[in-house]
Amino acid sequence: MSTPSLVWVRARPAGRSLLSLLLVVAFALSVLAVAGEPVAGSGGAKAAREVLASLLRPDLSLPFLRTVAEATLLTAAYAVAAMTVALAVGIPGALAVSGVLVRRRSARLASVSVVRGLFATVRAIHELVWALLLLIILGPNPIAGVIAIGLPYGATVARVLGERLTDVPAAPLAALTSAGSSPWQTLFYGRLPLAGADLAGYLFYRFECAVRAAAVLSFIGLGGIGFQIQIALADLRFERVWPLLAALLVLVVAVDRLSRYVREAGTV
Amino acid sequence: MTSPSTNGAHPYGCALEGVCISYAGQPALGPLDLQVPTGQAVALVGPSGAGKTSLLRAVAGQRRPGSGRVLLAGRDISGLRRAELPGLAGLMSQRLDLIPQLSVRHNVQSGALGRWGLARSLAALLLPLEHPPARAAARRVGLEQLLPRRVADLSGGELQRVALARLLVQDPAVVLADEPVASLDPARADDLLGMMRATGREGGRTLIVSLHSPELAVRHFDRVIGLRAGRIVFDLPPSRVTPAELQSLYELLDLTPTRP
Repeated sequence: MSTPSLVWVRARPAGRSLLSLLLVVAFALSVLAVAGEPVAGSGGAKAAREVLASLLRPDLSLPFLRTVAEATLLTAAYAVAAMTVALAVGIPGALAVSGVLVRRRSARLASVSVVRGLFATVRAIHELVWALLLLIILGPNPIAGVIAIGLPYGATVARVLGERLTDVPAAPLAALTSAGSSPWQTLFYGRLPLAGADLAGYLFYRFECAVRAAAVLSFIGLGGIGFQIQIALADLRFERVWPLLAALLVLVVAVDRLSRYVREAGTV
Repeated sequence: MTSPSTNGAHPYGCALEGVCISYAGQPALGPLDLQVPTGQAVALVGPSGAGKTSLLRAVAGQRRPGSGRVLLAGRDISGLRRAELPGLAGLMSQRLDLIPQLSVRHNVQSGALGRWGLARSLAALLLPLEHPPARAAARRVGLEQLLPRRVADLSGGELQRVALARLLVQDPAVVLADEPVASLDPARADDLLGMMRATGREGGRTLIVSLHSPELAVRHFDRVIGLRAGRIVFDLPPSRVTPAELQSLYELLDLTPTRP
């Protein structure tokens, strides 16, 4: 009578289903492995009440708000500095990792695999671990913090940017090449515009991550929001934590807005 | 925009000698011999899969023939330096292959990249500079008003003219176009082909254009070549193309093995 609206087109390969099942089990087991200590002890509940109570009476005194404003600007400045390092590493890195400037196929494959391995290693180490390593080498100072963020972010930017530059439609690039365009010219007249607004959006997302990382890495000597939160917590002045967190939120939202504005304005 | 390379140069703009092309073992073209005198306007007609695109790509140097030779102005295409090809032949593909995010001006100017160094290319892209031949080409195809517009915002007929203007800036001796009017209404198709003919004549360029419509081929070109299953079925001046000839071209399609 009536035909069914949906029918199975083809069975999934048994191997893939098995793999999916194994992954689900592995993830489920990993949660059990973490559960050990009770989450909130008797002292913890009291502290939680104090923290929540402080939410009703945040410290909004003028001198403290001044501190918050300064800390916010400082965090933003470190994030910008870290992003500058990330771009200085990541943009040349993206060109090397993607091999888009190398015409010969064999040379491209060789250079790409070497550079890709190098960046994968840098990226594999989290910015917190970089900070600990650099703390030992350079001591606690802002430069160490900026490098700790900028280096792994640069490696990540290199990878993602490199992929975006490779994953553009091939035909328009071939048309440029046949008009005599060199790989460098094709980069600027083809790859970058084709990757376009997407690229700007990703870089702003990285900037947002850098803001949060800069707030976390106060122990290495990055002043700013993270450092102020650390002080407030050490003094048990929870009423000061909330305005600082609000400032961090404002900063992240501001970056997000800026990103949207830039993407809507379009490139070139 | 005259092209000095064609003035008093080789009598044949392009020539094919025993050219064969196959895709994944399936023959697509040839063996094919063809000579096109410099300055002639040739239309290729025939059903889909007849080998029109393969022929154009071979002449443009984008597809190396399995056997045979392609000559541009008497020179074997396989012996050319990379930088020489853009001045000898240029192909406007069916998809046009423009960069939608860039302006009309930058797309048209990109035809000159083969003659520009990187510094000049970047200056032309990032600074408000203009390449006078690009404006001239845009004016020639009626796009001058649209120069600052983004290509993504244009209509189909306008896109076709941007691609033509880019090719005029590239200034090849042999202009090749693959189905340039496939997506245009009849009036615009006439308009574009007339424009291609006129710009070809001005530059002394050789013109080879593939078309679906035999009527347009007869109306605009010096010579009409019928292709079917990779072979030349007829090769006639437009006055001698008869309905019977055209019928043979399309009717016999049913007898030939179809190809993806």
